[in-house]
This record gives sequence, C-alpha cells and structure tokens, in this order.
Amino acid sequence: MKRAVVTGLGLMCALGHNKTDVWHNMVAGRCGISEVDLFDTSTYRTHTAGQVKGLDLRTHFSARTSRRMSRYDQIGLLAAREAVSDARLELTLENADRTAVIMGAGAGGMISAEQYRKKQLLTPGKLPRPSLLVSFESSVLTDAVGNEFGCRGPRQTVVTACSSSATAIGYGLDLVQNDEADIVIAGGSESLCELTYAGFNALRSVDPGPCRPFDLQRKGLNLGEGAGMLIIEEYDHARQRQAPMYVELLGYALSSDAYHMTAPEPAAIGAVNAMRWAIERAGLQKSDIDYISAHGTATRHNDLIEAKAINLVFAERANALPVSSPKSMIGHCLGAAGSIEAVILALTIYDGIVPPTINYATPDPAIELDCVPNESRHLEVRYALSNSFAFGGNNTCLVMGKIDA
Amino acid sequence: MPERVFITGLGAVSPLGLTLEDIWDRLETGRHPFGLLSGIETGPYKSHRGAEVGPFSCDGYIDPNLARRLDRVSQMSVIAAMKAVQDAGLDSVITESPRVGIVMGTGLGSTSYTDEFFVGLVQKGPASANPMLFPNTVPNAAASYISILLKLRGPNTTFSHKEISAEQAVAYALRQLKLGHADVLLVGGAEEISSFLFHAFSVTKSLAPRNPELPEMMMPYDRKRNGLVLGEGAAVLVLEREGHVRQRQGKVYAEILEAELASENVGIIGYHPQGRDLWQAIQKIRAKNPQSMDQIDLVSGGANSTTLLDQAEARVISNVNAETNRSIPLLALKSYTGCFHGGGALRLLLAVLIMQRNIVPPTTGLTDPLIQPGIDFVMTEKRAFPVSSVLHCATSYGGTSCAILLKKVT
Repeated sequence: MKRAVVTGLGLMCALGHNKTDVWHNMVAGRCGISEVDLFDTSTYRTHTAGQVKGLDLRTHFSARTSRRMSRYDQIGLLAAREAVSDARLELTLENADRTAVIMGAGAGGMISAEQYRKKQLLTPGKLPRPSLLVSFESSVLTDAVGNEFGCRGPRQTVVTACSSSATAIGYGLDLVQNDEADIVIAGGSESLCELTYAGFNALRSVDPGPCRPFDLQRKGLNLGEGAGMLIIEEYDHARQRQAPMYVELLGYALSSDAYHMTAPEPAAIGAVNAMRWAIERAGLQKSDIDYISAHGTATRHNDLIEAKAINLVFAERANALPVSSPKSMIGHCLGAAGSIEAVILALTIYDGIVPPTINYATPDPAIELDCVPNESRHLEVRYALSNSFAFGGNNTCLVMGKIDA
Repeated sequence: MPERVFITGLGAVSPLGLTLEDIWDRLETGRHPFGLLSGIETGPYKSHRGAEVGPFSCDGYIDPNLARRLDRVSQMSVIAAMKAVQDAGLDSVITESPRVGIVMGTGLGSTSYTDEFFVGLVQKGPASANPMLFPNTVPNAAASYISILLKLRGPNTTFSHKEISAEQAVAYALRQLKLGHADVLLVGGAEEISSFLFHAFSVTKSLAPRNPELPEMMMPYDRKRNGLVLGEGAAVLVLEREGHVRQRQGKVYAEILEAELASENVGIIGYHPQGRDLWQAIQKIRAKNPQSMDQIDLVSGGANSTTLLDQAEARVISNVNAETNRSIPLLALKSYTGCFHGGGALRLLLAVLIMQRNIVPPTTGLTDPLIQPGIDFVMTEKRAFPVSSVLHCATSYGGTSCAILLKKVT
C-alpha cells in the first residue's frame, strides 16, 4: 500500500479568505459569526451565520464564468487555487491522467437555483436566466476544478450533507493508497442559501447567538460557509518533486447510525464504529491519538452523543484527551465542514497548536471532555481524528498524523 | 490479490415495471415506456413525454405512517433495495451486521420536496417552513432511509455527478469491497421527474424535440436524434465479496470486474467530441485486465440521443473494435429507461438480465444510424447469442466518464 501525504492546503471561511488568515484568527480564538447579508433574514428567527465577507468574487472571475458558476463553485475554486499553488503543483501531460478530483458538497449550487426560482415566483411572465440552473448540480465544481488545472483522472462528487467532504478526502486516500492516483485534489465547498438557512431554523437547531459547543447552555448550531481543499499526494511522488509536506493521511472509515434522519443514535454505536474502524485502518491504537477535532455542532444531542462515543472509544483516557470544535468559530459549513476541519487539523498537527472551543462558559456535567476552552493550546499532536456526522446517520472519521511520527 | 465482487441481488421500481419478470418482458419485446407525462403540466413546453414509473405501493415495504413522510425518490429507493435484498436471499442476521452498507447515486434527490419546501418558504415565509420536508431535501435521504429501514450499519454514502451518479456509486462500492471494508454493499441510483426538474431540462434546451420537425423520442445513435427524453425510477444491486456469498451459498448473477473513471477538459457543460474521457476509462480497464477486453460480447452504450455524445461514443466504440479486431454489438439502453442522473444502476440491472437470458433487445428509436465505420448497432430486431461479458459505458457532461466491465461467472 502506498503512503499519502498532504502537500497543499486551501481554506476559506468566515475567519478569512486564505489559510494563513483563518489559522491566525483561529489560534487567537476569534469568532467569525456575524449578521447575514447574503440574503434578507429579517423574517427569520435568527439572523447570523459564519458568512464569508469582504470577498468580491467579480475580481476573481470573468463575467462569463460568474454567470455559469454559483457562489459554491467560485468559493471552492478559490480554495482549490490556493491549495494547488501552496503545493507548488504544476500539472503536465505526464501527471494529468494520474490526478483525481474528489469533491464533497452540501447544498451545492442551490443559491443560484433559488435566485432563479424566486424570480420565477415573484415576477411571473419574465423568464429568469436559465444558466442559473446549469450550476445547480454539485458536480459542476468538481469538473470546474478538473478543467482549471487540467486533471484527467477520476472525478467524483460526494453528497452526504455534513459529512460529504470528509468522505471525499477519505476516498482520495483510497485512490492514492491503492496506486490509482498520484495526486488528488480533495475537499468541499458550501455557500449559504435560504433552503438550508430556513431548514435548520425550521428544525429549531440554530442558536440565534454565537454557538457554544459542549457548553451546558448550548442552544444549537450556527450555519457557515466556505471551502477547504487538500492536495493529497503519493509520498514518493511528493518527495521526488521536493513538495512541502504537512501531514500524513493515515486512514478513514464510514459508518451508518441506521437510526433516524435528523437525530443521532442514543447508543452512539455509529459514531463509535467510525472512530474505531478509522483508527484500526490507520494501523494505530487508540492510545496513539493525541487530539480529536470534533463534529461539535453545539446542538444538544450531537454534543452529548459525540461525548458519549468518545468515552466509549477512549474509556479512561477520554477525559484527558483534548477535543475541540472549530465550528464554535466558523459555524457549521455543512458540505464543506469536513474538509475545512481537515485543513485546520493539518495545520494543528503541523504547527503543534490546538485550536480552542470558544464561547465556552458553563461545563455540562454530562460531557466530561477537555474541550480546550476559549484559548488555543501549544501541544505536540502526533496522531489525531476528525469527526463528521451527517443527516441520515452518515458518519465519517479521518485519521492524520505527523510525517514519520 | 483482492477478492472478487459479485452481483447477487437485483431490485427496481422502474418505468419498465416493478418486477424483474415484467422488466424483462418489456425489454425482450422491445417496448419502450415513453408516454405523455401524467404528473406534470407540460402545456407551456415544447416537450411532453417521459418514462414515468407507474403507480406503486409502499405496502409490505414501508410502514404507512412513515411512507407518507418519505419523498418519492426515497420511497422508490427503499422498495428497490428491499427487493434486491430479498432477491439475494440476505436475511436480517447478515444485513444488520456492521459489514453491510449502502452507496447510492442521484443527480439531485427529491427535487419535488426541495421545490415544495422552497416555494412554501418564498410564499409563506420562514415561520411556516415545513420541518418535515427539509430532511428529505438532502440528496443522501434515499440512502439514509435504506440504512435506517434495513438497519445497515456499514458504510453509507451517496454520489452525485450528473449522468454518471450511479456509476460513481458502483466504482466506490467496488473498491470498498475489494479492500475488504465491507462484505456486502447495496449500490443503486434513483431520480424522479418533478415539475421543477422538467422545467430545468426544458429551459436549458436539453430535451427532445430540439428540432420541432423531428419526433420527441429517444433515438440513440440515430441520424434524426434531437435531444433526450427524461426517465425516472430506482434500481439497486447487491454487491458481495466472493468469500461471503460462497459461504452462505447464495446465487450469483455476474461479476463486476472493473469500474474505471477518467476525465477530459471540456468546460462545465460539454462532451469531448472524440470521447477521450470514455476512451481513457476503457484503456484503464484494459491495463488492469488485458484479456477480458477481448472477450466482450456486448457494449451497453451511454448514448443519450444528443448529437454530440452519441457521435463521440460511437467513435470510441469504433476504436475499441479496431483495437480488438472485432465488431462488438452496441446497444443503447437509455432507449428503454430514458435519461436520469441516477439511471446507471437501472441500465446495469438490465445488462445483468441480458447476460442471464442471452437475448439482446433492439435499441428502440434507432432505424437510421449515424455514420461510423465498423459498428454493429443492435437495432430493430432482438438477437439471441451468448452474452458472457458486457462493457457498460457512461459519460457525463462536464467531461467525466465511467466504464464498467461485467462478466458471467461460470
């Protein structure tokens, strides 16, 4: 089996437009949640989210491209550009066939389809621009990334809501480990849209204020948007071209709760299975794990069940194991959450700094975890997990480690 | 050496019928299922036809209270999955083990529930947005309901990549099984024709008749082809590791040897005129499995009755023929299923039935084939000959193709 390392990172979310800014703000424990101005929220129960602000997409894309690509595609492409340039990657005729693109999406280009449908409903008789519907499909980003960099290998698009892009990264690892690709551009993107904003509000799972993962007073999640992109590369391929190496990607696993569309399974077996199988496939012991990047949405049930799962897997070590939730700072970026958190985890391991869970004030006696409250922590992390749990009980766990730890 | 992967069960809720017998009967007698759409107001459009799934009942499959809450894509998918599990003879001791999972492919999932939710939101405001509809708007709803109702605890994931959504599910599932990450994976594809989906395909000018002088029908590889006709439905195949099926002495339909993907840079909506992505995907199969390419008895093409794709695919198959020094019969099963993004699973199911019966149905709508040297189009008449190996081709706009190789197990 081949080894897979991460040689490039791209990141965009409420805390910044590139990985350097986001990471700087995250280490400082800043909160990216603000008033939404992407659409009118005045009739909603809540008004905030982790929106990407101060980004003029028109300066990055031609008018023609903008017409054919949704905000989801454009945010994703910008992060992919950052990752490719970070990896100092040049695709040539020699390596294009061995370069795959695997993306994960949540709502995909829904925001464009919404624009179309709204015009249709509110100004009948006037046909809206049909190209708004072309970018409805999530796989437009996958092909757009492939086109931009000239990748000719496999392209696939995972759509499992909140675990999509974690699964996409796992699949990328499969392709490299089994010698089907030397390079994989893997990640995900998400644009805020009214469908998801209204949907999570209708489910009463949104906190009107900044979310508080693992806190006794937690009231729900904040939605977010952004993109995370990783260049996953075969180890020798990366070494030969003297590419930068952040971390080694070691394993992943998917599991199913087989329980309920929106509620996590009370016994936490699905989440436990994902973590145990991922550790096993990485060739590690549970005692090797130094840190967990939690799913940590700040809904009452998720955090409780995730804590229970961590307790079941790590037993007496669970209370001492740092577990934090980047979602406390950037919100829940749905289809992009897994990849954004994977980029953050790569930086965590590379820099030896664990990001905090912010807005944490009151411990929940039912959650006995060291959630790295409010301030980031210097800590050597050799091996770590990243959890992503989705609607329908789709669970994904990724394992990363220091190179030659 | 990785373990072999077999197809051991089939289930469908399709425009061709709800049972394998009915589906085969339509196929063998060459009767396509296209008709005037009953569920959709097509008045304002140039197109009016599609391959709809007739009335079906969830009774005996899904509890009535739950069935009412499920979107139609999930209903069809759950029923197809349960039929496939039954066909494979898998009992609950097996399906409820953590080594059994589900991988689905769909373009957009339940576009009718998504649209209903959104229209409600725009017209009545967020306070009345229906929380019961929202969870069904995610494209992974069908796979999730299957996992919930069949208690599948293994891998559970969903792919969406335009016309090759279901093929991507197969490609992923095949790898997971070969790697030993599961013993059994249900793999399928599903889609529904909804008013909004029909509208979207109409205004983006994908549907026949693009030329009002020509008929509104699927005419793959025909010179008069002029756009696609939508289909819908769900199909699920049970994929199983050889050791697992041998141990339980289950029946085997066929082996899935390879499922390979490749892509080409054509912009986000085009097809490569030479079909280079499909050609590359087939070359990958050849590289992994050189002898098997010479034994292909039938090509199941992904032709969708569009000018560009059908010509490109014919060029690729012409090259395959030239390389193998043969003239492999070429059939387009979309002439029976219509076009839908999760439709690859139904086409694979049909290919398995063809291999089982050794009868190849005609490509309906094909009477006057496009000019491409060396191609043996299966048209007008069904043919009877031993079909031991089928090459299934699928291409999506945006430049990604998947080729899948099926082989009879002897």
